[in-house]
Amino acid sequence: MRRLVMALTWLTAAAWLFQGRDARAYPQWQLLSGANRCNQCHFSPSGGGLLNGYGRDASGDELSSFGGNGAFLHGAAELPDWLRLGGDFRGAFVANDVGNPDGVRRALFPMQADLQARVALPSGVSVYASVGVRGQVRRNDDLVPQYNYQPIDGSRFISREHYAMWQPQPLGPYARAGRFYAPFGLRLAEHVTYVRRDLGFNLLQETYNLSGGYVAEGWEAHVTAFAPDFLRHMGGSERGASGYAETRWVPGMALAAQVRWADGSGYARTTAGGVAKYHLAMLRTVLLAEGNLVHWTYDGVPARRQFVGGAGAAVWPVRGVLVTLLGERNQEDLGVRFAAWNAATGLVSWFPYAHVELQVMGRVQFPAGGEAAQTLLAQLHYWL
Amino acid sequence: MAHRRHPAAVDAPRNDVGSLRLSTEARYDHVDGGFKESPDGDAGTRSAHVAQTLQERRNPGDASCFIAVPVRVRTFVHALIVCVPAALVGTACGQVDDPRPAAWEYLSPRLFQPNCATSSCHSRAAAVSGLDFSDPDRGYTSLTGLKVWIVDPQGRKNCLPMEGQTVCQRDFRPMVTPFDPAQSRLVHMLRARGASRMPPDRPLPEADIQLVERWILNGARRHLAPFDGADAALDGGVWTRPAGPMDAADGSLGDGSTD
Repeated sequence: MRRLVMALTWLTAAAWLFQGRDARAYPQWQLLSGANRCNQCHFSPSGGGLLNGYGRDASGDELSSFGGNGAFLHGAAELPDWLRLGGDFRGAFVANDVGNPDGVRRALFPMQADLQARVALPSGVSVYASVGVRGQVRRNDDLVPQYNYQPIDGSRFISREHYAMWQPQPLGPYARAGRFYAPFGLRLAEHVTYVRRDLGFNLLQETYNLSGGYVAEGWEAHVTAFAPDFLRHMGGSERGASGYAETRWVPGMALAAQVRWADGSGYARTTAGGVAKYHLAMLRTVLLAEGNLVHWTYDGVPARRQFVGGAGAAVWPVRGVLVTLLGERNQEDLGVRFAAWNAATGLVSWFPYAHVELQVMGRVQFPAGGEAAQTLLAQLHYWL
Repeated sequence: MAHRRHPAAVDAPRNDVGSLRLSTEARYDHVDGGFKESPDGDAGTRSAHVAQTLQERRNPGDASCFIAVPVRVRTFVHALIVCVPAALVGTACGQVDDPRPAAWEYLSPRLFQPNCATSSCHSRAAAVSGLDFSDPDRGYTSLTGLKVWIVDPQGRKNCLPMEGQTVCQRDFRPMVTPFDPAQSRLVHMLRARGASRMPPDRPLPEADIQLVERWILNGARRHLAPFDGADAALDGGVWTRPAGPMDAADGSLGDGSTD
């Protein structure tokens, strides 16, 4: 029985840790691939989700080792202009060493299964939604006494994003309402990175937003009011507002300032930070950095401050291969030297053919005063 | 609401093990998790202990980088020379003590919500193992007020057959044992000491684990009481189990309905 519980615990942990990498963009491609802005390849003005026609063509013609047709179903089916469909499917193997008594743990598991659809309506209005299944191996009805907290019925079925948007042109003003991540930060696909996990952008923490902004070739700005998932209680409890402004006036460079205020359960936090990207064309490399200061206030105890940031480089040595190295620091409290994590992450993504990605990630985390945690994750990603 | 006395409630004689633990916070060995008695054998009193703890909390800067010098200017210059560069390279000012409050009002939003209440784990939606750390109240109840299955062939109420036996839901198996970190399952899991590591993807920094241990040593209280007398902060010295998520007003186990 004990072994069964241990196994279930590990499988649950694995599913929790690594399932459902959301269908987000690779911000590394910005500048590196020649695209300046997110909605050059995505329908969403802040990136992620379905690729538009340009993005699908680029995935086959420019980014994959052996080319291929990036269109829906590899071009086998023609969709009407008003309809766009897609999907993301991932399987993964993980080996995780966090100093458990029984050593390194390994698991092979399904990671993501999402379908996406976008319907274009007249006057620049569109509706977008994704549906999928949240990975969780452990059954809900065993081990836990029924009088304790129970999972919310149907919480396995998820919709990471669903929104309506008005955007008459890719360049210009837009507004959208619904569930999605507010534009903020580097928007890395890896939700385990501190700049995502510790700033309110962890897996399935998408908020319900009312957002608007302006996208130009040389700059873009977004403001968002957000509220927690009041329907399914997926994700966090925060409500508040955020702003993100990015300039690309210097060729090959993007600089952004950002601010976010959030009121959560028993706390409020104000985040201010910046994002920088710089393209070294000669080296086929883009340098990435993000830093944030977070001021926390609590109910009944003094305020504290936090720093969360990271920096690294993404290299595109040959067509179809993207190597990303990232160093991070999460200084949980600026007044306490040993309340911090450092982390180093290496990602190698190979895009052999349009629609296919093979990725290996190695990540080492160093909690101050504690044991290092090492993770190896390999995944096969296919998108429709 | 069913208030039941905790087995480790501190109404035992003052010279027993429980009282000794209360008096030895400063000597708690975070390396091996054990307790070391005072060299002079002074067990002290809970009042003195809590008063000392709260007083330290009110004066957290005693061991900061500001060396105690009488001249204010020298202190300021010292601060500039030492603290500013230290802050720039990402280190703090070298505190020996942790100035953060060992209070659930701090621990819930800063440690438990971001590290534990993730979407497919101990969130409100998933509530794995019946634990929900998505807000301070639910998180506190998860640590202190949940039920457990007990094999009871004679049981008739709140029971069901499981694996050929009759199991019943009974109070309770707290994740924390107030005043006693070494006996708290939570601490064992944070330290991966005979239990699977939690959080399973990133061990907490030692300072965070020690902060949780301090909170438990101080009684694992839901609210940080104002400093108006040490014993007053302990609700009369009796630790009571908070209501579970499904407790009915009459003290029964309720109807088991969920969200």
